[in-house]
Amino acid sequence: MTTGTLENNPLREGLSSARTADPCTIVIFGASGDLTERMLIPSLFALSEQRLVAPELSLLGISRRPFTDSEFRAKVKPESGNATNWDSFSRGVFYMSGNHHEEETYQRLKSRLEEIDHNRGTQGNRLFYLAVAPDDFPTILSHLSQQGLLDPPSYADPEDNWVRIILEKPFGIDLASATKLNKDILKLVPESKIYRIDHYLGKETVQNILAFRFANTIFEPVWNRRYIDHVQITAAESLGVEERAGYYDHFGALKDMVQNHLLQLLALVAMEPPASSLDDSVRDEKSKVFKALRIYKPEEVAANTVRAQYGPGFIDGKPVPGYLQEKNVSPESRTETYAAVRFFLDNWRWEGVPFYLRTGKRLARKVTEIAIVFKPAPLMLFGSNEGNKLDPNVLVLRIGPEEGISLRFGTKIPGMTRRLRWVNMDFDYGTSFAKPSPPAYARLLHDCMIGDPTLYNRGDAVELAWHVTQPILDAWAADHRPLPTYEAGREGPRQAETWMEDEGRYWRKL
Amino acid sequence: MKLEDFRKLLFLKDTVEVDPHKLPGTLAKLYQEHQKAHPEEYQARLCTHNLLILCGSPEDAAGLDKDLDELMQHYPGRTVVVVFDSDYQGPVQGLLAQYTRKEHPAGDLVGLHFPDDGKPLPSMVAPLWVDGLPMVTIWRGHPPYESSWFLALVENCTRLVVDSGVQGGKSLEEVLAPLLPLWKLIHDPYLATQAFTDVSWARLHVWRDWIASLFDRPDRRPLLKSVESVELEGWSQPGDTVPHLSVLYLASWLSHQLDWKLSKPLHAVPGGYEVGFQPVTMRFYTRSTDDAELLGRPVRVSFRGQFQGQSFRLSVERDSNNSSTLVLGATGPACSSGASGHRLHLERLNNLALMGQELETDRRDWLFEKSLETLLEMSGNLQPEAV
Ligand SMILES: NC(=O)c1ccc[n+]([C@@H]2O[C@H](COP(=O)([O-])OP(=O)(O)OC[C@H]3O[C@@H](n4cnc5c(N)ncnc54)[C@H](OP(=O)(O)O)[C@@H]3O)[C@@H](O)[C@H]2O)c1
Repeated sequence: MTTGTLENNPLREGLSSARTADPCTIVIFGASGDLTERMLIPSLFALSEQRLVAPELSLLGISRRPFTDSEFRAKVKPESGNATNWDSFSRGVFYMSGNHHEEETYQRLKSRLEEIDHNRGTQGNRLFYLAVAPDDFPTILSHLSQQGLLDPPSYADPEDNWVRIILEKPFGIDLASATKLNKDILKLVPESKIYRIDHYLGKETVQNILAFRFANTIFEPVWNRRYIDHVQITAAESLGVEERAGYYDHFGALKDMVQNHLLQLLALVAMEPPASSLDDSVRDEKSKVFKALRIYKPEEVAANTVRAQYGPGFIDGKPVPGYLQEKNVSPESRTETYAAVRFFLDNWRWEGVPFYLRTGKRLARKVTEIAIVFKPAPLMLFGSNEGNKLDPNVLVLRIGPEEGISLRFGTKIPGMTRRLRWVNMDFDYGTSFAKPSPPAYARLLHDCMIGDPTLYNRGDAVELAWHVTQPILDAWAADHRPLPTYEAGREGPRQAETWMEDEGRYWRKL
Repeated sequence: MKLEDFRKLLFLKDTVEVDPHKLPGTLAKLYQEHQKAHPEEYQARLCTHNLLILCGSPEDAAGLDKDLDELMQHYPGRTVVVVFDSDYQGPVQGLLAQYTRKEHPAGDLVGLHFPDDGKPLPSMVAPLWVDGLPMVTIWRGHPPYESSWFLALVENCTRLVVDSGVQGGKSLEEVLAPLLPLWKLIHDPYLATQAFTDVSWARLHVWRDWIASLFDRPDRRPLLKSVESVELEGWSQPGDTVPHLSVLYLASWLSHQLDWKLSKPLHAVPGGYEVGFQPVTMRFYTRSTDDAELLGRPVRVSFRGQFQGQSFRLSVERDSNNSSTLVLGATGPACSSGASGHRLHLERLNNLALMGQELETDRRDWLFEKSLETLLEMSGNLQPEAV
């Protein structure tokens, strides 16, 4: 899968940068936008400073606003990094103004790309990064196709050279739009060239879930319905909707977090061991998880979900407004800012084990974690009359803010008593490794340049994830009862607590 | 050296004096005391490695105090530093400093002030190692390759780091002298699981990376087969024409990776040194500098040849105005690239970064071993049939 023409360079052998990306041109649509300036350019520059991209790497930004190359370079110059390195890197940064709906833009693009290939030795390798509204993806791709830009140019080597496309999220706003988008795109480009980005998957700790599960033998034997009682996946934020209010009000917590990020985490926790990490096995296994997710009938949705909106409250001791009082939010809005869903997987490993996914804004604390709650020991041998409880072991994979892993287990308190105390065995990335993790976008861009799509979403997986969320969205839309609320700065709505307690389970404290 | 001077040499933090013959018990007791002092907290002990640093003399330990202090804060683990002091005749002296992170014990730094004879050392350090973790040994100065106690230390470690270029050398023989014992050690059948490296080699990572990048473009790759001459230049003291070990390692790495066959071993020519390969000639030059930090580091590597009737020159060299910037140069066929003249700021690889790099590596570096072997062959110090 990894084409890696560099592998044929005998001097690359044994270098830790053996996976330095091929020389290529990255064409960014939406170049004057926020994402380009805040994430894409700083990540590419960081890769260049770490020598993970070839010195020939070139970048061509496109959007309507007029900039000269040097104006564009000045606009996107990152705050950090070495000045000499930026001078060199930015010599490969170019800009052309153009409307991506117009044919003429692509004619100019074609000759500009040929010029860059010629002047900078980028070999006809091209990465088109679509950092624009998803509605525009098919238009852009069809224009690129008409100009023959979706294949390497005639002067490139068809064996070695490549064209790849990164599509930004959101990939569809519901099942119908995602399916249509996939169909429209795949008419023009084969899946093998498409990289649907979800920056969440580029986070070091998310990738570490796979390493943790499949590089250690001790957990896999108990990673199933016989030993695991349930799984809690939480992504809580203390922030409100801030400047994203306009966008968020059309989306809500389920679409913004559960449909994509949290279901991805669920897939990584629940998937079977892949046969290899070098081909599409990881993505195959994730898709199998999505296929096994139970799809709710309309009448089952209420019992398996909780949604709510935050009201006024306090964060860090300061008063904050409720959701309906936020700027750019309709005062009648029924958009949920909290969502909890109980999912089941109908397969041998997980039958009957609930996966509780919850996310919300303006909660007590910012935390993202996966908690695997094991079944308690079958019998309490030690001092049940001394107040010992049959508590479960809990394995927590902390994604943020303090990345790490902790395992809770019972030990005897020293002395003549038989009392137990529950303790945590804690592993903290920050204190164990000296190196900081690379930014998620840098990791993902590099993966795309070396042709590794493992951390990108495949079309079928995106549609399957919409398949399980769409019935929930539909049932919620048809339910006109008032939305529950929760006080900003608290653990979430009361309904979510009782919903768990009715099953004899408890949310982990945020 | 007095104990107080020894303390100053290695420690920035408070220390306690310890009996060097009772270290395991002392360390265990300190850990228990730490637990007692924090009864309410669960106690984790963070530890990722064992590290033994040996300094052949107090001079070899110069500057270690800062590096160690930073290392201990970044890499939780157990570190023992031994300084041999030929002026000291008394019993071994020991000092200990402890490091914590978020209240968790995360490192013991033990300093041992040793008289000249290292015989008792292996038995003193072996019981200290935290089980199951890598055991890296770094020797600063010239290692006593012939001593049995040195061999015992190497047998006990997972990785040995030496610095064969540390003493420089006035003649080529002096530069190459430490390499044969190192080669023998690497080929000792009893040391098959140990990994080895040489600081003069480890420092070359960026250079190798940049030289490789000259040939990343597939259309440049054929040029590799048409190289006729390679020039390598390194910093040296004024008047010194002997190539430094780092530059020699670069040359042997290139010839090994490109499969060039030796035709005439390394020899002096007017203005420098030369080695002949089939089909390439390599020449070594020196450029003088007063900056002690730069001594022995490469300055320039350039390739020349003819391809399809056109001549080419590809190079990586330090900027003449700023020695910490590397510049790529390319002229000739497949060199239209605007990336020619690409510059990269080079972070100086300090001792701390080097130690960190070594602590994170745990495999045998066969490329180093091959380059060492090739260097011995190309300098006539090893016959290919001996391999
Ligand atoms: N920002 C983030 O952190 C973030 C995070 C995740 C995903 N995303 C996704 O990434 C995409 C871009 O986000 P963004 O925040 O960068 O958006 P943005 O700041 O609104 O930028 C949109 C860009 O598209 C260009 N554009 C719009 N219509 C165009 C046309 N007809 N022809 C040429 N250029 C056109 C705009 O440039 P001109 O106005 O100059 O033409 C601008 O550069 C969106 O799909 C978003 O959902 C963004």
